[in-house]
Amino acid sequence: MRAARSLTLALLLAGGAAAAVPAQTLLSRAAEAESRRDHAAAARDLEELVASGFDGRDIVANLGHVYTEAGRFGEAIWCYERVLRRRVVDLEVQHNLQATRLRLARRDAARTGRAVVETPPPLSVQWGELLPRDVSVTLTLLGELLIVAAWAWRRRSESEMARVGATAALCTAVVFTGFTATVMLARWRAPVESVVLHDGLRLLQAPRVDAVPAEAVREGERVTTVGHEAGFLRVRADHGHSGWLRETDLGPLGP
Amino acid sequence: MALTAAVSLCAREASAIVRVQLAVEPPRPVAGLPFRVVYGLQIQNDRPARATPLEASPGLQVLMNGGTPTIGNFMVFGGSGGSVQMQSSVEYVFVAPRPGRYTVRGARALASDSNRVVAEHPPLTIVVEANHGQTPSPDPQRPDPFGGSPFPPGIFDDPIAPPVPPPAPVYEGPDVPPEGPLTGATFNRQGFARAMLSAPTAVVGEAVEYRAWVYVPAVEAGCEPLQEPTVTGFWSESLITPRQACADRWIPQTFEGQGLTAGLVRRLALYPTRAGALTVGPLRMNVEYLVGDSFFGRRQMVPMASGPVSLTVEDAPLEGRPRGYVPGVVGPVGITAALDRDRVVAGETVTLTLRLEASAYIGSVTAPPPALPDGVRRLPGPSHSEVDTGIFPPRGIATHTWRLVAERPGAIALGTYALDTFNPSTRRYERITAALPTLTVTGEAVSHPPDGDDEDPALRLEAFNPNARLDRHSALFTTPFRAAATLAAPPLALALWQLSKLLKRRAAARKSARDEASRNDPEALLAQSLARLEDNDPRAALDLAGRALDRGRKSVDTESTMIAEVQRSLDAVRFAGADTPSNEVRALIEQVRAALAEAGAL
Repeated sequence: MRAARSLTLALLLAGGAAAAVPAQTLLSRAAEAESRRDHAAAARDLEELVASGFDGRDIVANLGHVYTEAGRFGEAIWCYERVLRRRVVDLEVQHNLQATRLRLARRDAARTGRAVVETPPPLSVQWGELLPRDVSVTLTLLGELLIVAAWAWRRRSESEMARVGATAALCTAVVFTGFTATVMLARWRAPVESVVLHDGLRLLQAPRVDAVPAEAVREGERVTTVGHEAGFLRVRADHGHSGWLRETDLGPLGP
Repeated sequence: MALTAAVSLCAREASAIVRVQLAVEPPRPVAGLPFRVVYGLQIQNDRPARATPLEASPGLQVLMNGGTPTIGNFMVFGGSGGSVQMQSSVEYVFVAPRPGRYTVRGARALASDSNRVVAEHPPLTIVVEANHGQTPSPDPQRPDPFGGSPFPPGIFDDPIAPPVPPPAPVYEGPDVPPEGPLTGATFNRQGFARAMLSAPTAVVGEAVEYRAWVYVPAVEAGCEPLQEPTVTGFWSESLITPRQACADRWIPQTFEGQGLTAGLVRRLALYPTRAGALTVGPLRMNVEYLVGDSFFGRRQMVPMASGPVSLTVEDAPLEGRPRGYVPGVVGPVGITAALDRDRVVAGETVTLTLRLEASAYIGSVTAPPPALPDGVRRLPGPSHSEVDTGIFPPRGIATHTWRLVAERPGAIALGTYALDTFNPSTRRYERITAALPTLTVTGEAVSHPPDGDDEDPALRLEAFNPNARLDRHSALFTTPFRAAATLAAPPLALALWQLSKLLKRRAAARKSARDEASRNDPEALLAQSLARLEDNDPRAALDLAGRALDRGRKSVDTESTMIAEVQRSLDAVRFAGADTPSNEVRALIEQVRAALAEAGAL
């Protein structure tokens, strides 16, 4: 019995291994599909790559590019936002994000005559997004070391000139560390946010598929997560209303 | 003018009204000529009541006794606030042989169950005038005792003409519920809601119609919507305006031997915006209808919900896809192109408008710009899209504009605009074309600095990176504890360093104090002195004994003769310079100890 079970497991594992497509092949396939403007196929390959764990900057940015070309603006915005939250500066992705928002706004304007390109998040959230979390922690640590070094230098300095220089270095280190520390704290204290992935969604009044829909949310809009229940997230939208959305309709923005 | 009087009496409920009314026609009767009295009974939101017959005063002859008005002969539904109102009337014909004042009484309504008087009209006084040769009018119109009735004309006319049966209606069209087995709903004898899609599968952008009907065991119903169907993944356009009255028409249906009527309550044009399995959520509403006949019937409210309906959506196929195909262009598509003017001076701008019309939703489609001949420069322009729901099937309309700048004079043929579309009905790609007008340009040629690109740079994406790095994102500080622990390390290390320094300093001070104390303690000095003596160093032993004596004397701060004598003996031996036997030194040390003990310094 045990031997049969082991054999079955081995066959399953072998089958799984045989079915897996190498990451490089997936990327090549995606590039080829994108070159012939088959955005849906390219998106599928890149989604498979991301699901396999290859969620580095280039792959996610490419996925956002493909989503934008396919008109899946909410998912594209989510990809770009994820990349930007991990990096201090990425001009290319910032440009693509802005272009995607403009395309989405143009589509909405063509449909309804009005559109919102972007609504700025609260100042505390913006402050927390100045630096990625790892960078802010590392810089704060560096700032602390600089403060200690400047303080030690000031204590050991014998000439007046050296003491003035050490004091200036100490002040600079304190300001620098204060900046990075406040960014880090703002990042930690920021509410959990998600991006609305799909078009035509409305906030539900209860965490059920057949619940009564209420206010609409925009595709690509950032919403704040305030609750969770059985595949649904309770979110607060830009207009201040709260309601439930399916988890699959939201893209969480990581730390 | 009719003489009309009314009395109302509220019974049981504030909204229940029973009204008894009398009207005289003509208002000023003439002696010898018949006149009519209309006796009316009106009940609103109350139980049935019955009226009592009229009684005429003596001298008034009754030519026709109409009896009593009976509720149940006529009914009216509706009225203000949706109340139920019932009314009936009968007619009496009187004649007064002489002028004078006559009275008609006895107009009252009794509750059917208790015979209690629920409404009563006061005695009606009729003034009959003298006859000056008048003759009766050939067909006096019967007055309405209620001053304007909602009944259709003829309902009070007596006798009622037999109605002409209308021709049997024929129900046709897509809004009629489909025949055959019941799909998209669960049968319920009290009524149910049914939702269907016009097709089970569609291509992204292709129009699908959603219809929802309400089936009730009544001729009509009222609806209170509770939840509209969710259309996630679709662009939707409502093709009918949701009405409180549910449906415009009710169509007879039969299911499981029960007669029902079905009314179309929702009709949406849905355009899937992405591939996959999409679901239209349920429609929920409370439906109210009348159970039983129109007289004794009661209202019943039934909550209904249509089931969710699913649609499988796929992208346009890859096989045979033209290279320039824009996803979402689903046909058949009609295309027209026009210029706002066909004569222009070189360097001026004209607007080229391209209008696409399709049964699919093409609002998300960005039409590729036209290829233009040399000498015409293209600049981007606005676009607009809408769905024309005024026709069936609804049409998606997209309008794209470009601004053209002609830079050389002459007649410039703009060529042909071509667009590849996918036709879901034939499952094939097609190419549609539109001839662009010819532009006549006058003036002198102009030139512009080549910019190489006419696309809006704000919308242009950075290129897809085919050589992307296959790396994984990793984060170090994933929890607040990690970050806090890392950031606490330098201050903690600094604090520990400072603490260790402080402890070291305090230990050194303590040791120093202890050494100092041991250096000044007579007992310790004597012990050291003995130790030196044991080491055969009597001179050092004497020195230490002298120091012990000196510290002891200072500590007691008094002069002792014994200490003074011992001091002299000690000084004598120390300054003698010769080697002193160790036993003498030991004796001296013991004398020092004794002297100090006596002085209390030990």
